[in-house]
Amino acid sequence: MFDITELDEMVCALLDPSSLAKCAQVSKKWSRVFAPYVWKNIPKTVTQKGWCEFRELVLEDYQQEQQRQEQQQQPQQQPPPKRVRKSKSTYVAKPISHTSEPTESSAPLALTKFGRLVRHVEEFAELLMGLEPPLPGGGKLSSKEHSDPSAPDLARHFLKRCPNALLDLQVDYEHVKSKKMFTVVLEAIPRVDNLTIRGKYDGRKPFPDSSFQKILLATSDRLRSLTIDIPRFRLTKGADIIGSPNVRDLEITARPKTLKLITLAEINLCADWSWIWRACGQVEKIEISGISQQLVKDLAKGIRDSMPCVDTVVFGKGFPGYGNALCAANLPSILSASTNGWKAVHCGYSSQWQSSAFDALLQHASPLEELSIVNVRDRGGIPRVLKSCPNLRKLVTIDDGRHGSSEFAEVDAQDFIDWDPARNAVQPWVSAANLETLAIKVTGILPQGSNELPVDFQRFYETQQRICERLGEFKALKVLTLGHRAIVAERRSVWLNRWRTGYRTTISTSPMQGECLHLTLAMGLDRMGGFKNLEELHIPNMDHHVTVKEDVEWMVDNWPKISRVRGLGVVTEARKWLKETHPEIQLE
Amino acid sequence: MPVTLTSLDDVKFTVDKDVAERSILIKNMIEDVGESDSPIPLPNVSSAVLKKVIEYCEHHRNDPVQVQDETDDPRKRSNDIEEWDMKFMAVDQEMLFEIILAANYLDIKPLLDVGCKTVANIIKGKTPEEIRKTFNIVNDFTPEEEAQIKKENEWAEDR
Repeated sequence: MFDITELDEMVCALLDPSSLAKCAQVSKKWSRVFAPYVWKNIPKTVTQKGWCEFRELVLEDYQQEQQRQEQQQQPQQQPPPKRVRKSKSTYVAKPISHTSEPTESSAPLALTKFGRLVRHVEEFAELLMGLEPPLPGGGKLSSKEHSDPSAPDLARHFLKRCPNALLDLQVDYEHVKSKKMFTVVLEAIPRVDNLTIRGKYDGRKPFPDSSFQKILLATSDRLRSLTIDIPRFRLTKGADIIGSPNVRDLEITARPKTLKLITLAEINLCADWSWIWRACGQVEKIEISGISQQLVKDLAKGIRDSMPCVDTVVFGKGFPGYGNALCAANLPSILSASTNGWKAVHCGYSSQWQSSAFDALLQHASPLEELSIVNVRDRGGIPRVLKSCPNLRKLVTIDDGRHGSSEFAEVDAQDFIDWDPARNAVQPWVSAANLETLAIKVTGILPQGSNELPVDFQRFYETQQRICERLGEFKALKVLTLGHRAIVAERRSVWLNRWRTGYRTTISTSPMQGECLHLTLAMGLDRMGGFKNLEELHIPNMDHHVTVKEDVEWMVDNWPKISRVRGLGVVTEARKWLKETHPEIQLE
Repeated sequence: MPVTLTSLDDVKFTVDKDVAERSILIKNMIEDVGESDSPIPLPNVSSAVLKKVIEYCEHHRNDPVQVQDETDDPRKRSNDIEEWDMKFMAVDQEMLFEIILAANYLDIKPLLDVGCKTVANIIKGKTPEEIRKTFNIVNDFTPEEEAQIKKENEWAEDR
């Protein structure tokens, strides 16, 4: 288009596959420019209605190849065949036109021409499904009902034509069940960079251990990410994946960077996974959810002995009860397993943090840069992290309603303030220098049990001011989220509207913001004047305490980089003023 | 301090330094050469295009430096062109392509982005024939080739 590859690339990156396909038909030059982008990622670019045509392209190429092979096998003096080899399939492909020297003179078919342009097959299992022969009515037949060529045959041929493609593959129980399918899957595995092995929850369909082994042994050094999600194994007699002596000698070629272990809850108790851990010498990130306690111990040993590079861990995101839970006692064993400490730790609600987990984490406080946790039993834990981790850049302790409700770790006001009466100031915390993102809910601002303004106004006022002073210490902050009670932002806005229109519900009359931090000048906002890098302020659940224009005016004057504010109410004076005078600041 | 720029057709433009320095090429030139009164030659840009580019740089002189977010899916951002930029880009095809080439040469990333987004938005939703008309492209396929190329691409088309 521009004769400058970088510019073509920029425009193509902005176009959807359908537009790219249309551009490729404009002219010969445009065809050359756009074809690489049309073919880049199969089958993601195949439209829902396009599978028939796509299968036909593969089928034609397949048949031409078959024909060529047949000719090669025939003695040379014999004339080449005049007709296309008839497929036994009831699916009728369009005849391939050819002359007396078909393979040499006929124009190369699309797949032969463009196959080299395919860089990524995301996801191979979807391609296998898409290549199933269509029924006359538009439905799909299983490969059994068609003798030749089946989806695995076509998929194998497709991969042969796409030598530059890397694959994403999720191997399911269904792939393993059919011998023909499994053969093609095993052939494809050396080219997979993102592999998931997924069993069924159905107890009658356990995943065969021998297949599991074959899959892992077929991987190559191209593998970057390995996910194992197998609730149940079927153990072969005498050769179980864990017990048999020869398992220990197995060598996996792959050296993935990411390892995810999900729902491995029913692993044989005498598990020996060392042959898998040995392949994990380059793993940097590990994700764990719902694995058996025995495997946790084994994994901890694996991390200690075989995974020197691992510095990021993600513990089961999502709700407990879906096989995601990792019992509280297991957290410390994993956290203390890393020899060099953790750079990033993320933990969903499903796993609870007790003080032993914090002890394990803070054995190496200095490497920690990112921590997100929401289910915290030990109230002193988060202040401890802030006190001990000099390189902490991101601390998130609120998960705002992705699962339909807000989850958060509570931090008691007095623990957060950490007041030093001798200096009459907050204790200095080492994380103050580098912390850029903080999402926190400070509770206990009011004396317990009180939902209305307290009688002891002086103490309330002092607490508010000191919290602001503590927050003001984090001078490197770019994103600040202050939480309140566990109310989901979206749902709450409905409640709020009802509340504002006088239509009260049980929820709206509950003490929604009774113990909220007041982000106002009257309550010490001016202690936060050092936020010279603050770009985003999220206060979705405390807006009715930030309604005064003067407070927001102060923020804009003192926080030069502020560009996004979430939660300034709907109709407040402050919001109106901000919208009119600073349209460049994004309001949500 | 003002900076003088000379276009391909030898027209001189005097602009403020902060405006000229929206172009990373010019910024680096000034840094390398040091402050000087001699005009900066831009032999790849015509005066008509340079005038437009300067108009853009003047409007955006106070914008913060763009931070590239690699993780963002470019497709999601494709339509968000701010109103002023949209009006600014409402030029004929030839000028649009010239602006993009100039932005590339002068290394003005935000202008390049807006230009590419504009081109992408023009292409979106059009048939091959409509695209040819828009960009004055001659259809150099024979009818057989056209049928063939259609067949080779229809699996990726929304219909």
